[in-house]
Amino acid sequence: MELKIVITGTAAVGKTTAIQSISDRPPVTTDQAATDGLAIVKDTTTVAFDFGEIVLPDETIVRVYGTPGQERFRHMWEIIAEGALGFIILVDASRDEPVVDLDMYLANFQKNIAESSAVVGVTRSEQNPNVMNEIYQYLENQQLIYPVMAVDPREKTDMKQLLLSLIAMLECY
Amino acid sequence: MSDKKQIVIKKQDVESNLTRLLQSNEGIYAALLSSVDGHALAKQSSRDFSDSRLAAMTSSCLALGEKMALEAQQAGCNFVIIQNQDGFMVLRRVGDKLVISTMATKNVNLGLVLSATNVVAEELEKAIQN
Repeated sequence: MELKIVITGTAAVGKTTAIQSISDRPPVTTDQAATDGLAIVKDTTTVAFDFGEIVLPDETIVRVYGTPGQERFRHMWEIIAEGALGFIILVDASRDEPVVDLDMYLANFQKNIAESSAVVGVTRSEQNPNVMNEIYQYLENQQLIYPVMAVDPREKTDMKQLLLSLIAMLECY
Repeated sequence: MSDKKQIVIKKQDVESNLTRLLQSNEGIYAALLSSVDGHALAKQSSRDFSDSRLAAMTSSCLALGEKMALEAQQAGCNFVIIQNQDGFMVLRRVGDKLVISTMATKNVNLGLVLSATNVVAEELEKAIQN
């Protein structure tokens, strides 16, 4: 069996790092030098997609695609989302309005997520003690039931737990 | 290791080279210079199109073309060529951080478009002051 999963979220949230840490095979990245304000935060930015593969113990192959974070690459979001069975939305707690970011990505992929499922990974949560409660409250208000976890994209165990939560959600359908 | 160096190129060098590209062949109707991370920098065109959207798509397409070449164990992607029913689009990297896109009508000789794009890209590479 093969599953297609998409990781999305704002620029510099850790999507490329997450795929690099979780992939069982050398990942494909399409990073290019950042020439704008993003260069203050990171040297490169994803312009097409990141791609990694995970082989589960039952030999299920999970193909994970990471979207570019910046909105000017919206054309890639639509291409990548097609046929995806689940979405991992990474939210950067150190940004000004993490809940607004989450709302934007849920809205962008609304149609796809409605036909599949999603989980939320919160990065840099230690920099924003209230972020988890804010996200729980937001999801409750929206009547959405998605797992939410604080994660470090550099940690394979964190990302694998997030992925397995998503797969568990999919199995409920 | 990352390259944090800014690149500097004179506006008149960009404009003269894009003009030269359009004048090199009557089938070439547009040329766009953009950054590899998808920002439009300069455009010359006899047709109307969104340079910001095209610049972002150019960035994605060039990156994919270069990755596909590597996956197929082919080194050094020179051009990404998109052949359509009513024309061609040719993408070529300029130095490390820029890309030039040439758009031409369907009746053009593709070899001449590639050659003209290559000449202008090399001129722009010479004009870049690191």
